[in-house]
Amino acid sequence: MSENKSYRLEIPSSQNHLAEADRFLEGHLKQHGIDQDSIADLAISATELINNAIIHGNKSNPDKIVTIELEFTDKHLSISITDQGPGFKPEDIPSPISDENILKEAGRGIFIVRSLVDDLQVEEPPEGGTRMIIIKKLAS
Amino acid sequence: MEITVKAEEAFHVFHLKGRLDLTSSSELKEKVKEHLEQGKVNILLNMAQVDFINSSGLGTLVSTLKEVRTANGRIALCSLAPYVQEIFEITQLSHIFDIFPGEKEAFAAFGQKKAAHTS
Repeated sequence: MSENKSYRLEIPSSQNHLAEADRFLEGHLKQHGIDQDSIADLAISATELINNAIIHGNKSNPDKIVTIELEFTDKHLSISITDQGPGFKPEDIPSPISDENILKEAGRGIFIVRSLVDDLQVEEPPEGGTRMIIIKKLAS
Repeated sequence: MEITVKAEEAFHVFHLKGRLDLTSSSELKEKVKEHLEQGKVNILLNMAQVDFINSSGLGTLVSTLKEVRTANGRIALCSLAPYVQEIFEITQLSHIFDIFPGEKEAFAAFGQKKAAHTS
């Protein structure tokens, strides 16, 4: 059994740091031999959640940070995105594909993520904020 | 994002290149607004060179769709990369936008104005 590997990056709550987060994730995903299609799905999913963490969680306050953690185990990889905001309940987000919402300009991010990854978990860390965890199963 | 616009008989073709996300959205909105103000209300977005789109980019396209409709114009998309097409299908925006495989098909659907003009 191989050892778990984990990586961590903290960025200020600014869109200017999205490219840095992208490079961090893509670099480690490539290094661990993840295929290009999966990297594309994981990259868009992580970007959606990091954007949410910056804009909705931390309200673009540059003094608040977004923490991105990547972990590889034998069976899966996970990408956790943690903000320092007030928290939210994903079930409160209306469906973006319903007739009354389809022409709204926002509200599709989490829906897209759920469609692209194997699982999306939401945690409320004891220190506050919201942690969104993307799970991608790895072929054994 | 790079945006170049080519005037055709039936509509103005916007060739988009790069990422369509929060950062690039304002450029597209501004360019569309300029055209609508000049009465150029039929717009085709050629997305062949859009290699990334996210929910912010989709939001911009929905906003653009509504503005064009308000101006009594028409908007269509063409030449979507498979990944971009997938995002449209996931979000079911593929049912909202007129999406064509290429410019030729979009021209045909926009009423063959060019052909009518030259005949």
